[in-house]
Amino acid sequence: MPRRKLDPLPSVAFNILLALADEDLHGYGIMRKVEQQTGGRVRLGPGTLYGSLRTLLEAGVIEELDVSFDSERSSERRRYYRLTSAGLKLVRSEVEALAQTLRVARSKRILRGADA
Amino acid sequence: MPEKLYAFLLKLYPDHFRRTYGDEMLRLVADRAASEKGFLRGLRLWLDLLLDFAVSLPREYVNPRATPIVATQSLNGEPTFQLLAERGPNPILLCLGGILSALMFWACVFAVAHTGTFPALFLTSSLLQGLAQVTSAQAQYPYEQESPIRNSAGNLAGERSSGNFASVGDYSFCMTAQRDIPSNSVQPLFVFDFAPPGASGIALIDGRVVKIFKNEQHLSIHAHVIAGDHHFVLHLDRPAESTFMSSNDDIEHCQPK
Repeated sequence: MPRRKLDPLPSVAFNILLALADEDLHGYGIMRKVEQQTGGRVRLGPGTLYGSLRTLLEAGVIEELDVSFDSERSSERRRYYRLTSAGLKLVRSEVEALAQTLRVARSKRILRGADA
Repeated sequence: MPEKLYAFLLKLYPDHFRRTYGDEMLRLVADRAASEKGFLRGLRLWLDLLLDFAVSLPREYVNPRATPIVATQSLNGEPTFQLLAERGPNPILLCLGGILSALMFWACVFAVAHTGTFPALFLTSSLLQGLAQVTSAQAQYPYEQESPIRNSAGNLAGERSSGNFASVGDYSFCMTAQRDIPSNSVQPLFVFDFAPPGASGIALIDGRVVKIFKNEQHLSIHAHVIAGDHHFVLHLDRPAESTFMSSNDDIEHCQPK
């Protein structure tokens, strides 16, 4: 059932998966990474972020790591999240679909400054 | 400061969501507040938080997390289940339930007392009679017959007969006739007593005597009695005796009024 929520993959979920593609992150780290990779267009609020994380956890595309101590503030414990192999497969297929779309857009010279 | 305000907003989220992610959400807000200082950035932070709150709160209620009931361990060979939530009884709801129960009880009593249709189902006859005595009134309807009465020897046996119809309680009425004899003593001529069939417990009894004939051999009474919605015709043709009891055979139950 949760898997159906990811078909099609929501933009927020895609950005979270993309943020976790290269490192494990906690909630605030995910929010910053998403903001960075979208050029500041997307700033995830706490409700949206953790609601999406819950959906992704139930779908099995991410997993929650053991509560870890923050390296900067060692007294505070944080939950870290990691992409699973199913999540990696999902984000890869989504990126490939987007890449195909991008190729079509370039062939149609829609993108400004695109190569002919 | 933003954390305290947001902690208040957090209480509006569903319990399971708040328990699971509440601390993390507060920490995220604290991190953002620490890194986004200044009036404009603080204003943007709050706009983000409020917009996120407006979007995510309804979604958490519309799509609640499916909580599985997990079989845990057997107790004396019988499976038991985890208790997912414990919630004590709400005192306000308990009081409200008590008030509603009392209202329902008295509504039933009121309905029974005013319809008289189901007395045997809910109330004892004594209680019903108690209710009836409060809500009904007794009535008497006197009659008088002026005719000389003579015996077989031709002597005057009486000058006048009188009597009345009266309601007795709410179930029966009696008719008593008395004969005045020359000795000025009063003798009861007859007593009529019956419970009208079909009369409801609270029916007001009404009646009138149409005609009375009496001679030395027979006492004849033809009377119409209206009891509630029922119309009774009384026929009496008996030897004149000092006192006798009638029976329901003397009553003709006519069509309802």
